[in-house]
Amino acid sequence: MRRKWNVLVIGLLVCLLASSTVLAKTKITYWTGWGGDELEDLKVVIEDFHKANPDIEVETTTIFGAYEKLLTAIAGGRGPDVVSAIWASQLAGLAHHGALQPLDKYIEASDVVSPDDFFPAIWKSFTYQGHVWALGATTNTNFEAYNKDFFREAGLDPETPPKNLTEFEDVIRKLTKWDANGELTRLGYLPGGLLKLGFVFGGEWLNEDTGEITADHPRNVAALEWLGDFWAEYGVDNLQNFTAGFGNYWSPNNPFMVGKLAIQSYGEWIEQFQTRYNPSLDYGLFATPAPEGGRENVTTFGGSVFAIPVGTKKADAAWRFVEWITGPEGQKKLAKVFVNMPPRVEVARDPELLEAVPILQFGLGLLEGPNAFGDYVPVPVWEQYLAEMGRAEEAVTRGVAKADEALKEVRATIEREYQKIQ
Amino acid sequence: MLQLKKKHRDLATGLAFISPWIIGFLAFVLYPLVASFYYSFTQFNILRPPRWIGLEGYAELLFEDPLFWISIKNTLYMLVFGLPLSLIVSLLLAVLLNQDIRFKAFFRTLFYLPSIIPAVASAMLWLWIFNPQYGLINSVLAAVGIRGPGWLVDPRWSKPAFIIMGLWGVGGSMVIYLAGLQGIPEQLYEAAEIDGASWMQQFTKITLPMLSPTILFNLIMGTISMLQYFTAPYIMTRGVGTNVPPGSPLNSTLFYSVLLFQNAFAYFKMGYASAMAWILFVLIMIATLVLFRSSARWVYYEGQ
Repeated sequence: MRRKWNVLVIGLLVCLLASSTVLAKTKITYWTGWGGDELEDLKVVIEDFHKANPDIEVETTTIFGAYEKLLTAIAGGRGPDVVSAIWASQLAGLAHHGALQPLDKYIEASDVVSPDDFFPAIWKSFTYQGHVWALGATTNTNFEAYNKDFFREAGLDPETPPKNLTEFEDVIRKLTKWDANGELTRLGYLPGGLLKLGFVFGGEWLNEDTGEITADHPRNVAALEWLGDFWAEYGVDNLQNFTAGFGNYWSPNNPFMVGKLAIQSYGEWIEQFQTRYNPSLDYGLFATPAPEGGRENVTTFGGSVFAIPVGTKKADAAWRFVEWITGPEGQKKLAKVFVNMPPRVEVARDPELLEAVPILQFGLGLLEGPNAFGDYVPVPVWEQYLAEMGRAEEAVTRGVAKADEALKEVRATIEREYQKIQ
Repeated sequence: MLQLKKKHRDLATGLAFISPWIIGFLAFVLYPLVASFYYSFTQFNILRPPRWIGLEGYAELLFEDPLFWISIKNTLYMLVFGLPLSLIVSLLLAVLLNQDIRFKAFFRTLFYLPSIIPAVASAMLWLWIFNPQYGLINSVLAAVGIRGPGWLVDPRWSKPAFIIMGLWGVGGSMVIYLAGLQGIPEQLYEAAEIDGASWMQQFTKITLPMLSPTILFNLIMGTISMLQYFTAPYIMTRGVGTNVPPGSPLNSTLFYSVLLFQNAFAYFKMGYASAMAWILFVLIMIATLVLFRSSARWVYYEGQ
């Protein structure tokens, strides 16, 4: 008789427990920008979140390559509860347009998230006008990678990469090869990317105190002039035709991996590239060399961030997922599977992680220095700013515009656009 | 009375049967059309409610935005040089394939084939054909001792490259010409032959006049699609540098719709993009009207 009661009570308890967890389970939709293999890796990490938080179920959907969807979905009231298919560079615009919920109140109440846990420059990239709009779980730094065999071949010391811009120019010349017809067969380096180069030269793109657009800062102009001189030295037609033969950066035909470039800009992913595309490649790393009056050891960092769009009714559950995945455990796991730099200082310095992913060491040094910048300018019209910078860079390198005039025009256009949306 | 009732019922049944189309038309064509007209007078970023700015957007396009005029110029270039060329080539192909030649069906299929390849796939293909170093065209040129141009990376050659690529896809208008050619009565040619007309005379005095309605159709459709030219340049003209938006090199392939898309979906300036769309609509309407009006002078309809 007694046994029967026991069974009954236990049975009832089990039923109650089961039903309560089923009933209390909150399903949240999460849109990610990661696709392919990375999406599978991500799902494995999310399983760990499920184990630790049985009352929440994250439904992961990739919108890789279709990022425009997000804004229209949010506008239509059909946005996700959490999104990471956005980048820190977009936060100013998204916040300005009212697409995201500020995370301040969650962060204040949280034991896991505190501004001091993150690299200061990276934490700043989560904020816009005094509010926190997103948190990052991963980031990337960048630097130059060089082919040591080519250094040896050119009579350069493979353990001493160039330290300043003059040395760099000289090394590029020595590594560049031409055939008998005067055609390029290998290029030492293809400089480009005006944003970072402006920082390297000592410039700035926005005066954060006054809110003034400073595209035509004299040091930015100097950077663009340097790019123009480089193209003029090697020949616009030569560079155009040679670089048009480059394979896609993200492919086995990457020009550095196949030896068409002796030096190329990379982030932490160079390790995966080498393993996959050219295991015998012997390479070294160095920070982009600066001219006199410029900044040493500059790196720009970027990466997708986790945010909670407006319109979701499950913001609390969404926050718990954001808190976990950008927390120490989530970051460490993602850093390992993606070979990405963790934005948290303690995680990035974790000896176990550095041993498992040694490539992180180099970028860590740059991030700890004073010259780490977000790979964007925190203004709501950043996309257009970037496009206009690209146009200016193209015009000057092809020899059809002068650096100072081109950048003045960029400034005028962006100021006008910026004003319009105020 | 009874008849009226039946009439009503028939109408209701009829409407019910075409309701999928009516609903689709109202929701996905008419409503967006009207909405975009309204948005064209506003500043609208999708998320915040549109803000009325009147004609400011139009004024900015016409008087302030240098890219607007660059894109108009590029698009007109394609219209003036690209379209006539492709109309002529497709007409000549159709005439050739209308002859009694061997493997006629095979050749017709062959020339039509490119038109059924998805635009994105053929764009990827042509990226390689135009590659200055490894591309098919420059390899052939190199074999005869000519150093080919940079094509898509050279602002002097980027638009001609798109015209060449367009010629590859003339199969669609060729088929329409072929159908038109089949409709020309054989006895006209027979009579002309008896009168001693040469092939050229037959072509200019019979084929062209009899085909003129078909030519008008292809001309109008071609004009519209040239003015809306988008997919290939959008895919093929991102610069080598990471930050260069579509339209490179040096904005030489910044066509109207590419700029429109950029404003709408990269910058989320929906009001501005709507204004662009309506200007394009007016341009297309004017072009079509002009062509229709002029057609009275050169298009011959049988029985008129």
